Amino acid sequence: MPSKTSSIKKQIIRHDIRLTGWLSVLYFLALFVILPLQILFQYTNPETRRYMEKGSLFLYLPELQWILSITVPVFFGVILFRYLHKKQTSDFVHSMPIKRSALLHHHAATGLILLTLPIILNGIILYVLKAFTGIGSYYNGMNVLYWLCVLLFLNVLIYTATNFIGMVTGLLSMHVVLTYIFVLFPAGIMILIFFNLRTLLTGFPLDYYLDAAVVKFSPISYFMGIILSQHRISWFMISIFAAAGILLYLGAYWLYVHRKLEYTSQAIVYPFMQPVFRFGVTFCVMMTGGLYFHEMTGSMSWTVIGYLAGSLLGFIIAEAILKKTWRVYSNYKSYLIFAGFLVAVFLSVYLVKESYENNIPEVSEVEKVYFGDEFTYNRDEDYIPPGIEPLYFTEENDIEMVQRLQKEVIESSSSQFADSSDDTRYTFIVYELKNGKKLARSYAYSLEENPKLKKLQYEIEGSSQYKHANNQVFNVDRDAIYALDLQSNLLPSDGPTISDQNTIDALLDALKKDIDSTHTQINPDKMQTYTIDFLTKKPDIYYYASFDDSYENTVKVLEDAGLYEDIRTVPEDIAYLQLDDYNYENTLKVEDQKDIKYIFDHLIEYSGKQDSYYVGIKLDGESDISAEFSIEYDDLPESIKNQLEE
Amino acid sequence: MIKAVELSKKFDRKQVLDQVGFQVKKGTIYGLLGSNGAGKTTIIRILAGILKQDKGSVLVDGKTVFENVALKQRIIFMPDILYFLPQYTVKQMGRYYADLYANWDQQRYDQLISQFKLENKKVSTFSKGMQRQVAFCLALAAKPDFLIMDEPLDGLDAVVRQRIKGLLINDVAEREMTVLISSHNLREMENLCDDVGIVHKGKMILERNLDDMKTEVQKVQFALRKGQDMSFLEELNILHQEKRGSIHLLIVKADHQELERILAAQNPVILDMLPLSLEEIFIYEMGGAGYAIENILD
Repeated sequence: MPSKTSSIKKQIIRHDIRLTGWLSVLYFLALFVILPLQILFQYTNPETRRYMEKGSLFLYLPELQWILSITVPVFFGVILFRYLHKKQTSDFVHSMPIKRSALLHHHAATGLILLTLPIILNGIILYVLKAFTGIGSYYNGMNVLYWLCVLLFLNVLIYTATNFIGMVTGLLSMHVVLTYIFVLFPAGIMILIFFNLRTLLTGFPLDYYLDAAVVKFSPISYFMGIILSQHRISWFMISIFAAAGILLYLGAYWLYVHRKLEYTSQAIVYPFMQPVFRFGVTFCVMMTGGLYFHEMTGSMSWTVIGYLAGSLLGFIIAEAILKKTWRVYSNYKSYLIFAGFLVAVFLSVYLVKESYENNIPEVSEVEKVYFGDEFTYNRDEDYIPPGIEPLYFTEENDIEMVQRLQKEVIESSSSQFADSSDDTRYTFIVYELKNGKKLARSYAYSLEENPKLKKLQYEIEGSSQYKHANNQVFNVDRDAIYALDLQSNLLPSDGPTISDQNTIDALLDALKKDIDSTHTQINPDKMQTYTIDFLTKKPDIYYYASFDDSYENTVKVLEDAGLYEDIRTVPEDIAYLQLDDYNYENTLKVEDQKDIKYIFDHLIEYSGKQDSYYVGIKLDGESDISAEFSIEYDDLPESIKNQLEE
Repeated sequence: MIKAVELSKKFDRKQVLDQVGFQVKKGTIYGLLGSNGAGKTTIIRILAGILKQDKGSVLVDGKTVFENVALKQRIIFMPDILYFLPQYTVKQMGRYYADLYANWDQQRYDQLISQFKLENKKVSTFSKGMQRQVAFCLALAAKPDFLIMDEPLDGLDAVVRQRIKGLLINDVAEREMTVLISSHNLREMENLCDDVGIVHKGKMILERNLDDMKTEVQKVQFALRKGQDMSFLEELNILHQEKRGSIHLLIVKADHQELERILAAQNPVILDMLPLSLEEIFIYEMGGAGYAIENILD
């Protein structure tokens, strides 16, 4: 029988508009307020215009833009496919003469237009603003296009994922919950697996994998980096997400066509997915449980109990959601299957444990080895100041030196659970092998109770390569430096500024020479009497150095320039020291010159220890205490300890 | 014509329908009877193309309904709990149906709406009975060849019920519309249906043509003179027999005239052919299986 109705059903579209039109309007208004309106306000007010940043449109309330992008599309999908999750509406719609595929296309397309229209309209408004007003000097057409594309992409991707999950579930609440679980799951499960591997395998470089990969696995975290932190877009990731989006739509289509409507109002509509859900939840809760117990106790037996309790809890939760009742014990057999699978997994982890932990490549296979921390390795500019370079050892002797340390760490193997005491080292080692492969390990260990380890660590830290990589003065952009500020940390007043280029050169050379010639690694927390701030022409680049009176060459340069006298502070200048305990309850004045000198040589910047003391310094000729540092209780002279006891 | 053959359906592990078969002839009204939870609604949802059976087949005019748009254009499904699009008025609902059903007759819709004196307000503000009337207006204006309804007369007052029955019968007579109605109330179906099928625990336990039944089964009371020979009763197919004083009450499977002739030949003192309700027929005919019927007789 020929149909006189067209294949585009206006009434279905109209109904969708009635359902979600308001959301579209609100979304438009929200974006309008965040971008065009805010930009206009800032621009027209000369007071705020001065602070306006140029370039990216993600500089305007990026958090809000990101949150809207990951919530509004979910709202759209949930509202549009709400009819699938109620028996009455589901029966009504599916008794109508329209194919399920047509329903999906109608709803998805109407929602897509209503979702993207607010973004596109705001994009047009931003472009018009730029074209016809002076605002154009703050962002250009490419900025608008970039903003438009990123926002559209993220919104459409989340929307597609929501629609896909709408097909999977038969419950409104589960639609929302499962959508977020689904988009976060790939990243979440990686994090859980990595964290758990760290608890099981000594040397597992957790942060390396987390930084390198994990954020990319979820569009939510990936785009958070792009919108909030202005990370660059990777076309590879975009194509992966685009492919995922297309697959999700095809998946939604397939699932809808095969959806059994009698399962409406069940958490998971497709029986074949129920085991996936059940074991997925069980697995995740189990890993969380194991991890939690491990972090809280550090003991292996508690960790096992954590795994057990977690898996049981996860299983009960999953079953309760699927069956919609707490009486879940009838399905204990599936739990036993899961438990059996787990035992196999843990056994295999233990089988590889030994070989993983002791896997140190032969020196002859190693091209070079990185030694330091993860941030420097990744050249993460959020954490690493300019002038700090990743350190690679290439010489055979040096590689052996690193391996000696690594072996000692593995052997002492309290490694992962060092308290964060002062002498804790977080070491990240990456072997880059001649065959192109990489081998990464990370360790945390305390030097305090292991003199052998301490010796090996200091050997590396004392090497000139280490010093050169980790001291900014060796890696400065000399042309950018136009002056430097000299300052004594003990004096309240500002020190001199040096802009004579020859003195700057001489000072840099002297600092390098002095750092090179110190034999033992200086305690990084030790108080340095003097600091130098290098002033550069580049806005984001600054350098910093510190030294004390033992830096002979540096002091000599300053003396020759006639600057040393301005900043020189020696223990003899100190009138008295004021010791305060950690809670400022007990105070002691130290006036004996011998004690002052002793304490002065053991000052550190700050200690977090409860038994440490604050040291206030009162100089001759100053009216009050001019600087405050800390000292560890163990570093105090015996006579002072005795006085404090009283 | 609607034809279901060995229809089976499981929900999880529960067998909801077990090899159900029935036939609804074109231009007739079929009553699907059964207690709550017997499987009527499942049959109807399969017929409406909402659910898919696990086994067996259900054909409407020789074709399957599931995802068959051309066929579904000719079928209207009316659920037991009515659903209207939220915030839609009577007219807007009409427009929605008009967009989806090719045979939509707007004139008829307007006419039905005024006939029921329904105002053009949001359907959700109407009483349950009025909503049911809107549903009938929508259904009949779509001019379906097949109208499938789940408990459609529940909660309607007698006047409306009568008017709706009239409309249904009218469409069946005029356009040869085929109707399938489910109900748990046999009495309601009595003077509406041509055929009835009784479903119990997912099985079709009985299918009958009501006209045939009424002509096949007779209720009669008579009194004979004292001591008269009763052996003629042995020739009759008696379903039920009672004696009150000298009066015999029989329910007999027989032709009306034939039975009257046999009894008249005995020269009875009293002879009354009595009207028989559907309810009685079922109870007497089913004998041992009557337990199933009583459930649906409220």
